[in-house]
Amino acid sequence: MAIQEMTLKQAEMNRWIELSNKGIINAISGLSQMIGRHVETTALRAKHIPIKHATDILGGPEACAVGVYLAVSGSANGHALLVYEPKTAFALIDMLMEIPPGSTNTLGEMEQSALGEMGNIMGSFFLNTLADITGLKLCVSPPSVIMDMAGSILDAVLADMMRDSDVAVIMEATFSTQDRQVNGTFLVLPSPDLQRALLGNGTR
Amino acid sequence: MIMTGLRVTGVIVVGMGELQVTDCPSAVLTCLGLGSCVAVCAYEPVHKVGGMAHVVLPYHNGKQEMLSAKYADTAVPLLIQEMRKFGILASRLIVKIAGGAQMSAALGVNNIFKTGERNVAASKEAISKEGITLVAAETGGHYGRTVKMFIDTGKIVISSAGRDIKEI
Repeated sequence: MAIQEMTLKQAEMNRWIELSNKGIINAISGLSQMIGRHVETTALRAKHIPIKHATDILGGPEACAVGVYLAVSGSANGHALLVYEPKTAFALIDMLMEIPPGSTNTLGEMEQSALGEMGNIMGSFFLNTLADITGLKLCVSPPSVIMDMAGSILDAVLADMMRDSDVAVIMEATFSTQDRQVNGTFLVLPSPDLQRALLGNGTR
Repeated sequence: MIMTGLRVTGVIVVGMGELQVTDCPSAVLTCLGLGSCVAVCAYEPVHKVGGMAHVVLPYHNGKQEMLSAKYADTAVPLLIQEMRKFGILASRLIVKIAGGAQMSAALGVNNIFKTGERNVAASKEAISKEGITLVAAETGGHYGRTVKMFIDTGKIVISSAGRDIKEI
């Protein structure tokens, strides 16, 4: 995929990647504590891609995906969106509810609540890390869980990013439990306001 | 990105912020997995020319860009302009819109951006500004949509995950 233009200066981009990496590692440690198993971050990638191709990471705009959306308020308004493939989401629910692997295959009220809680933990760990480093005050809303076409879940968040630019840095994290029961990917899509606020307060 | 006059048979995907126009009878124009985005569909039945814009945001707000299909207020005039190159009469255009869902309101989280609703309103406004009557709209709700336009008939088909297929 061609890099069409640079939206952030190289130094800012490196800074953002560094911040997000720390946030993601903490988010995954939060997940690990919640499900009571060791979860390893197997890969962290920063992708500088045209925003309209963001859904390719999830298998295209029509692929089914599960999204956990958290609105962020405080020093900056924005949003955090965790997106999983359905099989990853289902496997995580199985672990959290301590039921045999493969038991979950739909998203009922119970499952949505479990995923929302997980999103809440991961989102809070992620944002707390960023808040600690930058000194910003960041609060998250209750989670909202959606299972639908990947394009439709990402649309509103991508639209907000497209206000500023047609390309963005998207963080992609792959994680795995030791027994490989869960092998998942999630994406971090920062809103432009949040990204600006975080980079503007970049003292360490 | 604007691509017109494609002689491609089969499915032509209209990506976010893109616009496509074709008169190829076997072609199908499609916007995949729309959430808050809106597909503005225009069809001229005499010349059998179809056009589709994948609108992402409501207003252009004087951004230093050329006329873009990304914003509702610039996408609509651009769509008509591109279709005129095929010799169509704007007065014959059948314009329909679909999309503009509110994905996260589904679970009680108030979406401060209300992008879907605003995209629908801005699209309707831009269409009436061109003196065109909107024939049909399948918008809002809390679910994603895939929109297809069949060029030989002008038929618009909308599909969503776990829902019946709709035709407008």
